[in-house]
Amino acid sequence: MLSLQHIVKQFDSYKANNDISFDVPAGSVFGLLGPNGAGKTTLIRIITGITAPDSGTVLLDGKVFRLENRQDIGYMPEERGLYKKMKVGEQLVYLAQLKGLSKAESTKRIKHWLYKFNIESWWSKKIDELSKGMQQKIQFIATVVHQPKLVILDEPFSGLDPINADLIIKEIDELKKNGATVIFSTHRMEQVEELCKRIVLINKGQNILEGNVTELRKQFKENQYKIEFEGTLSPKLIDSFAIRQPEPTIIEVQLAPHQTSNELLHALLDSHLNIINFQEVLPSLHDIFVKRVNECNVS
Amino acid sequence: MRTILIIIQREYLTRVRQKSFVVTTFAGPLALILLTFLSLKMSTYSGSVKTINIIDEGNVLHQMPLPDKSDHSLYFKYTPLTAQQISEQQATNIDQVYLILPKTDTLRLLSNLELKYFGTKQLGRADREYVEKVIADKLQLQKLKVFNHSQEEIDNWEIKTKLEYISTKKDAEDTAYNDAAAAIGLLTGLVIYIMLIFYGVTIMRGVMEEKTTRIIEVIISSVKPFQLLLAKIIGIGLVGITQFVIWVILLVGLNLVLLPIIGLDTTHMVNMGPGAALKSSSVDLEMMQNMIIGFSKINYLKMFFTFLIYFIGGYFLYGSLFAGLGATVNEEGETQSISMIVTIPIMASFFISTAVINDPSGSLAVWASIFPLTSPVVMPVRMPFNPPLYQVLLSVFLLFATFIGSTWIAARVYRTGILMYGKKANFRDIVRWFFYKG
Repeated sequence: MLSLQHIVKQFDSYKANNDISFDVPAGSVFGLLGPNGAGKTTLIRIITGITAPDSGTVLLDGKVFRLENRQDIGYMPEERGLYKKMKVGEQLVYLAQLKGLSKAESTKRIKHWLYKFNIESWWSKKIDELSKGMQQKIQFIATVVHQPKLVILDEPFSGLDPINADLIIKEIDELKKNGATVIFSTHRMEQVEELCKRIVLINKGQNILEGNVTELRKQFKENQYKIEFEGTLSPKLIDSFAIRQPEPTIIEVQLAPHQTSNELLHALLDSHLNIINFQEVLPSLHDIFVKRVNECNVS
Repeated sequence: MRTILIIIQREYLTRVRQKSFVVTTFAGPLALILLTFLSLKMSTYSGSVKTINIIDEGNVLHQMPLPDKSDHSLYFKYTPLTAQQISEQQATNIDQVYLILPKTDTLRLLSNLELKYFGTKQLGRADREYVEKVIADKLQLQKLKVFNHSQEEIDNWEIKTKLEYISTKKDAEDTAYNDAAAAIGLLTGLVIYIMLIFYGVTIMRGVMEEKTTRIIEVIISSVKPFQLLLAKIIGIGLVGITQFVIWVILLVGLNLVLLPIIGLDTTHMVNMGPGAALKSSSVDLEMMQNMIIGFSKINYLKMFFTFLIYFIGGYFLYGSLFAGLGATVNEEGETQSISMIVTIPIMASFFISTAVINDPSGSLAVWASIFPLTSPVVMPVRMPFNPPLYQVLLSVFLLFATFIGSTWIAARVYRTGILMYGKKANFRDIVRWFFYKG
C-alpha cells in the first residue's frame, strides 16, 4: 500500500529523516513509533505531501506519490486544529469539500457520522463551544469522511475519556474492515499492542526497528517464565534457577543461556509443585521501545 | 482550481457575515468624508519652490516687501510686466506664476478682491491660502493709511481676497475642479490606505489563526500552501472590493437623495456655469455651488478603475507580505511589532499623499506615484490631476511586477513558516525558510 524508500529530510545541519525506508501493508493498522523529536511528524508530513523530502521516494499503491493522491489520505495531526468560530457542520462540509467531495455528498456523509456518534445536535454549534474531547470527535470525522485509502492518526486518543477512546478504537477497526490502511502514531504502547499488527520505530531520524509486533516480542524475549503454582518451593529449585517471587503463589524465572524451559518444567514437577499456569514472559512493546532507543542513544 | 474556489468562498463568506463588516461598510463612508476633510485642512506641504510674480496694476502695494513662506517654498517678486503682456503670452504657455492685483480706486471701501493668477501649474491649496492671506494683510495695511473711520469703512474693514486661476495650458481646469480633484484623489488614496492596512492585517490574522490552531496541517494536507495563500488573499480581497462597491453605491445614493433634499441640483449648476455662483448673495452657497461644479467635472469612471487597479496591485503586494509575516509568528502578541514592518511604508504613502495634493506634479509626487511601495496610495491621489500617461503605465507595470515578486517570496516563506512552531523567528530564520525545499 505505502512504501517509503530512503527518505531524507534535512533542516540546516539537522537531519530530521535520515534514509528511512519501510513498507505499510494494505489494510493493516501500522504503528509509527518513536521518542519525542525522533522525526515522526516530519515523516508524516512527507507521507501526506505537506512537505517534500530532500531525497527518497514515497510510493502509494506502487506508484510515486503525487499531490493529487492527497485526496486518498486522511490525516489527523497530533495538535488538533479547527476554526474556532466556525460551526461544526459548516466546518466539516468545508474540509470534506477540500478532499474532493461535493457539497451535497459532504453534507449527507457528515450527517451520517454525527448520527453515528450521537451528536446530531452539534451541527450548528461553534467549535469553541465544544470541549477538547468533543472537538477530537469532530476532527476524527473530518479525517475519515472522504473514505480515504490511507488514514494517518497522530495520537488519536489524547484528551479522550475511556468511553470515547473505545468509540474511536471501534471506528479504527471499522476502517480496517472496510479496506483502509491506518498509520497510527502514539506513545501509548499498550494501544499499539492492541491495535497494530506491524510497527516501525524511529529514533534520531533513523529507522531502528521494524516488523510484526508478535515477532518482535519474540525476537526480544529474554528467557523469562512466569509460573503460578500451589505448594512450597524446594531449596534445590531455588539454587538451580534465578527466581523472583513477587507473590506467594507466583514466581518469575530468568533462565541462564544454557537452561531450557523443559528443564525448568521438569525441575518444577520434580519439586512436587502443583502447576496452575506456566507461561513464557514476552517483553512488552514498551520494554522493547525503551531498550532499543537506549541502545541507539548509547551507541 | 475547485479547491481554490472553495477556500475563496469560505474566506469571503465568513467575513462578510461578520457584524464588524456590516458596521464598517455602512459607517465607513461617513468616517471617510470626515477624515478627508481633516486631511485637507491639515495639509501644508507645498512641494517645489515657487516665485509669484506680482503685477500690481494700480500700484496699490507700493512695492511693499511681501514675506516668504516660512519654509521658503514660495516667495514674491514684483514684475514690471503688465496684465496685457501676460495675456498675450498665454498662447505660448508661460511657465511662471503671475499674480495680477487689479486697479482699485476705492481702497477705503474694498472688502472683496479677486486676484487673477496665470501659470501652467495650479497652486496647491496651502500655497493658495498663503498667497490670499499675505495679499489681504498687505492691502489691509494700505487701507489703514487712507482710513477715515466712517461707518461704511468700518463695515467693510476686513478685506477678503480670492485667487482665480487662469491656466496658460489649454486643457487646464478651474480652481473648483482642483479642489474637487484634491478631495477625490485624497479620498481614493485614503480608502486604499485604510483598506490595505485593514485587509492586510486581516490576512495576517487569518494566517496566524490557521497556524496557531494547527488547522493549517489539515488544510495543506488537501491543498498546496500556495493555493491556500492565494485563495485567502483573493477571498479577503473580494471582501474589500464588495465593501468598496457598497460604498460607491451608498455615496452615489447619498448624492442623488441628499442634494435635492438640501436644495442643490448639480446638473442645474453645471449648466449655469461658475459665474452663476457669483450672483448668489450667500458666500456659503457660492462655495458649495463651486464645489459641486468641481466635483461634477471629475471623471468618476476613471477614478473607479484607478481604485480597482491600484487596490488590487497594492493589496496583493502588501497582502502577500502580511501573509508571509503572519506565518512567522506564533501568537497574537508578536503580530503588533512585526506588522509595523509592512504598515510603515503604507502609512508613509498616505503622509506623502497629503503633500501630493498641494503639488501633484512635483518631483515627490512623481517618484512616490511610480515607486511600487507607495504608488498604490499616491497615484490615485494624482489621478484626478491627469498625470502623464507614461507615468501611470510605468507605475502600474512596476506595481504588478513587484506584487508578483512579493507573492513569490512570501509564498516560499509562508509554506515553511506555517509549519514552524515554538521558537520566535528572526530574520535569519525567515531567509533560511525561503531556501528550504517545499
